Amino acid sequence: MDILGNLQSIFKIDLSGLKKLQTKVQIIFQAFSNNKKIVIKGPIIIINTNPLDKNEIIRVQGIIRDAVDKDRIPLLQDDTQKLLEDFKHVDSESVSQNLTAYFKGKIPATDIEALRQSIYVKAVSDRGGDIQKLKRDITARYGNRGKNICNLYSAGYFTSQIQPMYEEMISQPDFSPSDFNTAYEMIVIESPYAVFINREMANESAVKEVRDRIDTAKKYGIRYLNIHGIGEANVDKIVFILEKLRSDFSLPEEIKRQGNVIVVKIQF
Amino acid sequence: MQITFDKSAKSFILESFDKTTNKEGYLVEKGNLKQRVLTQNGQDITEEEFGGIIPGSTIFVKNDLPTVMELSDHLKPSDGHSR
Repeated sequence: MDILGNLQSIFKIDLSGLKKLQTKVQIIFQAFSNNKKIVIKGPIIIINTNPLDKNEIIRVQGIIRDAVDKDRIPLLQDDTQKLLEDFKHVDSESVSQNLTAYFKGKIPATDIEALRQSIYVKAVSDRGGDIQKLKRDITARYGNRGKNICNLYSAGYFTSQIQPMYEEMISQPDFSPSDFNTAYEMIVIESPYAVFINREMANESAVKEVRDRIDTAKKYGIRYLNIHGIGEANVDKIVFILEKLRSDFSLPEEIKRQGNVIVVKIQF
Repeated sequence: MQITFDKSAKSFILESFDKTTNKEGYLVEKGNLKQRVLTQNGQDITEEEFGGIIPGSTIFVKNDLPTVMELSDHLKPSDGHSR
C-alpha cells in the first residue's frame, strides 16, 4: 500500500482525490495542541502528531521510515526545505552559473562551493534578508577562507579584480597557472589586508583609500597591507600612491609584478 | 510528493528512526545514548541543527547552507524531489 493508502487506512479519511495529484501532494508533520489529527488543505496534508494514540504513532512512524528508505523521499524540516528551494533558484540563475563555470578548474573545488554559497548570501542580502546565520554556516564549514571568499564576492572583487587578473595573466606569453594560483591565494588568504585600486579612483582618492586603510589597520595592530592593481593606468596610480605615502612606511615596499598585474606589500 | 516537518515535530521524526536527543542536546541512538548520530561528513548534530533525513543509508543532515548546497547537487527527481 502506498503512503496515501496507508494514511487513509489509519485515519479513516478519503484521500482518493489526492492520489491523482500524487507529485503535488505535500505531507507536513506538526505537533500542535488540539485534538485534530489530520487536516487536508488542497494538496497539503497536515498531520498533528500530538493527539495520536500508541497504535497510530507506530503506524505513522512506519510510513515515515518507508517514505525515506523505500520510496526514497527526502524528509526535511520546513526551514531546510525552504532554504533548499531558494538556494536552487539562485544557484540556477546565470550570475551563479556563469561565474562558477568561469572559475571551475582555476580555483580549488571547495572554493567553488564557498563561491556558490557566497553568491546566494549576496542575493539574500540584496533583497534585504538576514544573512548572519548563512555567513556563520560558511565560516563553520570553510573557516576564514570561506569568510574571505564571501566578503570578496560581496564586495564585487571576484568579477572586478580576480576575473580580470586571470584574463590579464593568461594574455602573457609566459603564463603559468601557478602564477595565477599564487596571486589568487594571496588575495583569498590575505583579503582582510588587501586594497584594490581600480579605474574609477582618481589619484588623490586612491591615496586617501590606502591612507584610510592604513589608519584602520593600525587600530587593530595590523602592520601591513597588499595593494592590488590591474592594467597600466592602475599600476601608474599605485606608483603615485607609493610616492605620496612612502615616508610613512617602516620598510621598503615589496613589489611583485607580472605583466600589468601588480601587488605591492607595504609595511608601516 | 514532498514530506516535511516543523520544529515542533522533530522528536516524533527522530523517534521514527530510533533516535533521540541526549542531555547535551546531541542526536543519539535511542538504544545507546552515548552513540551520537553523525552526518555524512562525520559531524555530530544538535537537535537545533537537525535539518532532516535523506535517502541513501538514512542520512541525517544539518540545517545549514553548505548542507543545502550538497542536497541541491545530490537530490534528483527520482528521489521524490523536483530540481
